[in-house]
Amino acid sequence: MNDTRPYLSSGWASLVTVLVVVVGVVALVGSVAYWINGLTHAQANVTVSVQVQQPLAQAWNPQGTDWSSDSVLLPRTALPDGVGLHVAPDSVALTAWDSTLLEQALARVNVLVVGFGIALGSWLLRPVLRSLELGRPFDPGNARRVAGVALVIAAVGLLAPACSALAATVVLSRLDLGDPAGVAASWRLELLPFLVMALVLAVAESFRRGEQMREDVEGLV
Amino acid sequence: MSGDESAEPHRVRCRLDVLLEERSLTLTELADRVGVTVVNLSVLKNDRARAVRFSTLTALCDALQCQPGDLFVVEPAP
Repeated sequence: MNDTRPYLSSGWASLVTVLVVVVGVVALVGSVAYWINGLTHAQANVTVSVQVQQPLAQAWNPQGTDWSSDSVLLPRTALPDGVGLHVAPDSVALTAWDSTLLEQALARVNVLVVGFGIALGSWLLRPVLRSLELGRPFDPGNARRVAGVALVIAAVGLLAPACSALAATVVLSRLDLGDPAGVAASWRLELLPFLVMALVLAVAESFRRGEQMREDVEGLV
Repeated sequence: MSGDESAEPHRVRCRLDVLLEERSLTLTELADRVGVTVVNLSVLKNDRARAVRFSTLTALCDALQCQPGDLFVVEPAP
């Protein structure tokens, strides 16, 4: 049985278009402001994501305390002055004093990447939603725009963790806390962005087929 | 790129203008009889159509008292 009710009516499409534009602008402005704010914190604390190797973790936590319950500040015996490690259930954050401008810039550039990604995605989605609102979903260019959104999702999913890892590497290098000390930069690729990218690419392909069908129907009398 | 540019080339020519003249009919009158918009009939008459529904073809042939072969000709290859 055909479902004749629209999943996104013209009115909702109009509302979503406005929301997408607002989210894009807020993400862009907010991420740039957050990044610039980080630059003003040079010589203060910088926080980066790291991973602690197992022997060092055991040395710090001989009783095998359950770290997953709360964020815990680890003992500083093995760390230089002004350096702290905070363990959260799914991440370890290293905080270091006396940061450089480059460290601050790199430590927050992942947020900048996400912000630009959201802004670019919303800029690409706006005309697609607008054509949905006008009842012409298969206007030329929509398939390319949706495929562009998929590309942006993949790029952000790859670049944001890479930037975090680069920031951690730079900070660890300054503190001389490389592998021998048991602390390493954390680069954990999330699977979700790539799953979403695959889904959005499938939507893009549907749009491409739709554009072909629209061209066929346009010349039909 | 316009729709016409992206269309596959063909050599089918519509003789609707000739048939209309022979029957002293206007495009608007034919549109009323056939139940197809003037815009679509104009597309057909000016060889901009890429496909014709059998229902449209039947209605046109009924209204013009002709056969599909009277409506369309295929030009010889260049």
